[in-house]
Amino acid sequence: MQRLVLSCCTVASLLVAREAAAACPTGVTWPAADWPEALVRGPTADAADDYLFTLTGRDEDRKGIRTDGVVIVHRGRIVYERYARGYARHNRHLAWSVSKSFLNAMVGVGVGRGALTVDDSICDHYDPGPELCDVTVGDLLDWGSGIDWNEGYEDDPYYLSSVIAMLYGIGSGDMAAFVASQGLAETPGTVYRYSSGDSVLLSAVLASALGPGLAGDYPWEFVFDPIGMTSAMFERDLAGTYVGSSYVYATPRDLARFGYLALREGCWAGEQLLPEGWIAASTQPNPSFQVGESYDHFLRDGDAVPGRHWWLNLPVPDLAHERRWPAAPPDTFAGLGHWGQTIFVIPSADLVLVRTADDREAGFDQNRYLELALALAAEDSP
Amino acid sequence: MIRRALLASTLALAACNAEAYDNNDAELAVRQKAKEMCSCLFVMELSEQECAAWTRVSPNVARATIDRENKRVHAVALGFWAADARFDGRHGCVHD
Repeated sequence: MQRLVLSCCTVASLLVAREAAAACPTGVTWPAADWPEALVRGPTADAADDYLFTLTGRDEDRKGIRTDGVVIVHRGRIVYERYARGYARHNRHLAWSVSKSFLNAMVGVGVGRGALTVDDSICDHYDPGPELCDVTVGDLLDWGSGIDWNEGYEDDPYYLSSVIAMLYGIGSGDMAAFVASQGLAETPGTVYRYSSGDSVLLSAVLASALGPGLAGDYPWEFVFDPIGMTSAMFERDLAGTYVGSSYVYATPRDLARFGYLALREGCWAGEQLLPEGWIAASTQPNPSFQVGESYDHFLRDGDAVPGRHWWLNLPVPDLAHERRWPAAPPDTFAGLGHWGQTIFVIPSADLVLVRTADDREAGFDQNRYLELALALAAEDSP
Repeated sequence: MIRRALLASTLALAACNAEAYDNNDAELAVRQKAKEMCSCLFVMELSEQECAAWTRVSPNVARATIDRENKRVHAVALGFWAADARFDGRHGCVHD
């Protein structure tokens, strides 16, 4: 199938130089059974407490900022940590769509082991029906499959939402088959459209590529166990497919381990866990994000620039769109989830930020949060 | 009782008018309540009160019955729609 040629000017203007790591970094701190701590005290930490943890309305009304937990890791040590609203350090929290960034890493390990490549047709590994054989693994990573999808949540009519039908409705028994049954709305690889369906289908493709020996265990074997995420749980549908769009659970401390894996370019304790260059490649604007319908979806969703199951802090000159988080440097990238779940990674500041929350309305200022975290890091003496 | 009947009529009408997916709100509500209540209690390990708040949706028609011993949740709505979810170790909760 003919693919659109990318606008070189558009892509070039979006790219930031992030060199792929030549080798795992030395001389950095790695968490062992638990994180080392170097808590920063003082006015900035107090300001973070005030901003992040002050309920501005009645809890039962679900108004205002509703933070459940925050862990900030600077140079491999926890410099800020706090919990609220019934949560404590031991409570797992639903990551919602931050799960998609976990799935990216699991696919990366699968690619590193030679089970699949990003250029493979998904039909090389999974049978979605002939209409979808032009969709590649990379297209799914880019949310660019072209599969017809309505990513509506509770504020939209339930009967129109593909994702609600997938998670709770007619698609919930075999979610990947449901996604595949939606058919194409666009030519694969040409249009970015944020889709939990693409992510779930990617989970099924990965499991099929790995084969029955690994299909049930890969999240633990590939990512959770090597980085010590002992709290991690990952839910599946009745067909046994991991719900890679939505259902990773872990404590904030363990979510920070995952952010730290990304910060260290896929290395953990000196070992290259993800393929060399995988994180760098995943944190560039994805090829299906280009003028036309992609921008329509982007503007409607109001999110950051999409990478490959990560979100980027880059401008979009074609739209006169500034960086999503101007307080943070342009190399910042993030896993973002419903109701305020976030993992921010800021390589140039050696920072990982985890926030779990139950924000049911817009109002939490991520930029202010990043500003406070960067100020905390600046106060963290070497 | 009248309010419940009106709500049931509205939901049934919504089901008839569903253009894209063959679900109705009550069916979605019980499946959401069973699965997310199970995950909240047995994965996130919050209290029943906290989980009731976490899983509240509109319309808030589903009611959950919790079997802590077997780590299961049964949800019903309007006396007709029902769904179950169970805890499955590191794989969290799944619909039955």
